[in-house]
Amino acid sequence: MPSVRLNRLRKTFGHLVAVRDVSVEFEEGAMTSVLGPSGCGKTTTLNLIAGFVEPDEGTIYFGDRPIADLARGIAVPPNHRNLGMVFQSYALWPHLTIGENVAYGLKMRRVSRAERDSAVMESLRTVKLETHVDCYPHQLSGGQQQRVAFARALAYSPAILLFDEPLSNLDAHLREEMRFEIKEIHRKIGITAIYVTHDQAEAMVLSDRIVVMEAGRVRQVGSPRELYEQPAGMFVASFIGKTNLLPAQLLEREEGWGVVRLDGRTEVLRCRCSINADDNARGYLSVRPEGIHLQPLDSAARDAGLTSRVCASTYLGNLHEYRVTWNEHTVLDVQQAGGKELKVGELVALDIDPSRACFVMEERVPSPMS
Amino acid sequence: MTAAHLPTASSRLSVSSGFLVRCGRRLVSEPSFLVTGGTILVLAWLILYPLFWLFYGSFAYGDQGLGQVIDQIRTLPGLQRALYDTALLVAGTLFLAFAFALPLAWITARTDTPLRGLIEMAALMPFITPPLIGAVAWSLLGAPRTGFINVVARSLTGNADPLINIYTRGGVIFVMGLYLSSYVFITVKAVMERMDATFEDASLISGGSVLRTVWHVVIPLSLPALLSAGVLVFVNAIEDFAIPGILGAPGGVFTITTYIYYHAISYLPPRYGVAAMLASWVMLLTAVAFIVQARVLAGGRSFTTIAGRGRRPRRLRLGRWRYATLLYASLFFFFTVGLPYLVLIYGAFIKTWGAMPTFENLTWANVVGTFEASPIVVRGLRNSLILALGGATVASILTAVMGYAIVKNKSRVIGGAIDFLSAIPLTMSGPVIAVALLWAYIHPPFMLYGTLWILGIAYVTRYLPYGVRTVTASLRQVSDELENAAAICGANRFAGFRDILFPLVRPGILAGWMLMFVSMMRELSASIFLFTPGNETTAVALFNLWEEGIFSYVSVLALLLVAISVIVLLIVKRLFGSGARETW
Repeated sequence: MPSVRLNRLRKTFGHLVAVRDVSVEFEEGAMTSVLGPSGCGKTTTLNLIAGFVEPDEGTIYFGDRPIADLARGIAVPPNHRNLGMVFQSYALWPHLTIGENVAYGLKMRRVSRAERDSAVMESLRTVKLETHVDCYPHQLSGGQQQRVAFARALAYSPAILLFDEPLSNLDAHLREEMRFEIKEIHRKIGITAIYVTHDQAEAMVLSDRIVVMEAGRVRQVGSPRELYEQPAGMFVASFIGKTNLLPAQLLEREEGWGVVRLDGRTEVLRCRCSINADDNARGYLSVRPEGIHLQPLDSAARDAGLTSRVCASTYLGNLHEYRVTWNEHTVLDVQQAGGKELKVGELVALDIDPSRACFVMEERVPSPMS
Repeated sequence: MTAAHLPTASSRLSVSSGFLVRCGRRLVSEPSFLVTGGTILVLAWLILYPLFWLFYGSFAYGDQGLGQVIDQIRTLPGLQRALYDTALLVAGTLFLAFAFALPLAWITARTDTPLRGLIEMAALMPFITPPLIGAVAWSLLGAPRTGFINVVARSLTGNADPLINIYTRGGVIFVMGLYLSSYVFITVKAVMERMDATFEDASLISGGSVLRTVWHVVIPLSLPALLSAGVLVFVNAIEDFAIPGILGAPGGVFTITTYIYYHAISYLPPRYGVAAMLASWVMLLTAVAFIVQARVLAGGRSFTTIAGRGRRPRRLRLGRWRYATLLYASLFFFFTVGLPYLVLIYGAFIKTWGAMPTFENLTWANVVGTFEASPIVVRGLRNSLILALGGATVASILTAVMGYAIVKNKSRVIGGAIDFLSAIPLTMSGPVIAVALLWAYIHPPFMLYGTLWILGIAYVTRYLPYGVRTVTASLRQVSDELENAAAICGANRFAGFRDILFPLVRPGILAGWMLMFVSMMRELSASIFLFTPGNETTAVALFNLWEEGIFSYVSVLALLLVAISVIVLLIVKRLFGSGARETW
């Protein structure tokens, strides 16, 4: 189970820089997601790891083994990288049965017939499709085809497993079910896995660590919790979960915490701050909807710093979702679990939870053209 | 400053050396590079070499300027008239082909006329029946003295004047219109079927009348298809030899193609320069037609009709009128297939031409006689089978390699070059290819004139684009992910091709093979210029028998030609088609 190390990887298509200067280590035995909006370079990164495209610059290592290193003339072709991959379109071969599809990788590895058959059955049993061994792909449902694709990638026990948005063609219900199933199977076999997706909920559920990409660059690497609570920049803050971004100035900073002043206000607030920013740097305070507490003004002390007015209210069962006006340009999204329901038009006091607020700055977005 | 410059320079250096390393590695690791290189060479030899000679030939004749061209038109006997007739025949054929096919397409695609399946088959029959056989059959039917219709009419009325004369401009236009209407039918029907009814509904709901809907919605949406069909008819009408050769030439009606044959190639002494000049004109005409089509299609008028949300078009309820539409379809079937095949069967088995087809008037003697009377019949059949089987096979292999290079090559330049080269023969119709090859292979180093090879080369060149289209279409349907999945599983390029790509495109290659085989079996408009005694093909033999006026043998051979094509197709489908699972 080797790790996968990308070092200063760069890939351009014509004038378009798809991946620029990407350096990441995918830990061995872990499930790591590569998350980002479409066009962020995540699929190109996966294709570089798979070997479908060759990097312009940089190196790829599987453990200690160099896989792609242009300067040394190394480019191991995909068929010698010992990978398993689950494709977005499933990519099952329509002219082969499920059994033949799953057996193909074993056949290419010249595994004997008997071993092959038992490995195929075991792999199909893992995805609960052992009864469909003689079917053709078109006879299966989308979810079943997805499982076969998974079984095919597992059958020959590859060193590394790649997923290219495997669930994006499934309906919402099936998608959620498959997330847990993939996670469960991964937990059992403990293989190094790289999972590309644009769906942050999927990435949160599945992965030990998430690599967030934007515009061909890695924006942040961390556990789901780190990304949510301590986003490294404005993009990550708004891409992972919902957030409210309020213009602010950093006053002081120490050990992951900081003190900011919101523009147009006089009070100072404590918040998380995990970035290396100078004092007095200008940026944004990212406040999660559940990090704002609303209280009816009459019950709260009159001197409560931040006051506002409720302009919309939605009942969601387990929580209330409010929109409150912050100033004439900005409304805030607020989520409250329990408590008394507030009415539209009511004046409220705002209380910001410092652990749910984080000072972030705008990432420099490079132009996609070189 | 120098220190700051150093890293830049060295990184540049590593980039360029990396590039060289990559190129070298690719040459070794991807044999496809060598294959595509070889393909380009073969294509250049097949296409560019004869083209060079065609234009060299037309220049050698003195075709060096507009003045001289006009001079030739004035001085060559009958050329002016032939050009005039060509324009007339092509225009008439275009009109008739659309007039015949549009109602048929509409009837089968959009109405509730009974027996639509049969009507569709009937509309496609002219496609399956070669124009040569249609021409022969119609000459047997409508020749002024001996034509079957006139013989019957004479015996019924006693009037010696012929009822119809097919050896006229009108006759040529009628038969060409019948047989080229299939192109229109196929294209237009496809569009009518795919056209989303919501477009029409949208127009009707916004208050348009049915006629306005047709005018503003249906016709603009089908315009690209109509144009493509028109170009196909136009090109085929210019290049066809069989119909104007058999029905026009006896009455002194020549198209540019038959003019090349009668007044240049089989003229004594042959006027190869004239042939080259006229052939280059034909090529330019065809090229212009295709360029216009490409221009219009590229101008944003894409087939958005397909993109609609999959509602099948409604069928118009015709009520009592559906029997009228059925009658129309039946008449079309009768004129294209029924009557011609009946007269051929009659001719093949009747003792004396014009006798009643009673039992005692029938005989097997014609069938036997066809083979005994003339050695060119057996030779023709043998040569055609060799050429069509070999040619279709060679062309299939070539098109498979070329298709792979066009669709899968990482280098757009190489794929594009092959794509472009392989499309050139589209603009070289039969006579053009023939005259070009004649010029090219009469000279050293390739002295192939007078052998079967020159015919084989002509066939492969001529039908290459059709094969390439079928193969690339089926290759494009195989997504890259299917091949990538094989690579991930550990398959090298060869294994991936053998196990995944080839089985998936095999139906496409087979379809291309069959299309090319049938086309080569019946090929006349290039063969007629290229055959030499001993190298006749079936179509040439048929034309020869017709010139000699032995109607019964003509009938036998015509039926045989169709029968052999069908039998070979059935055998091939049986042998190679069964492995392909059709239910993907």
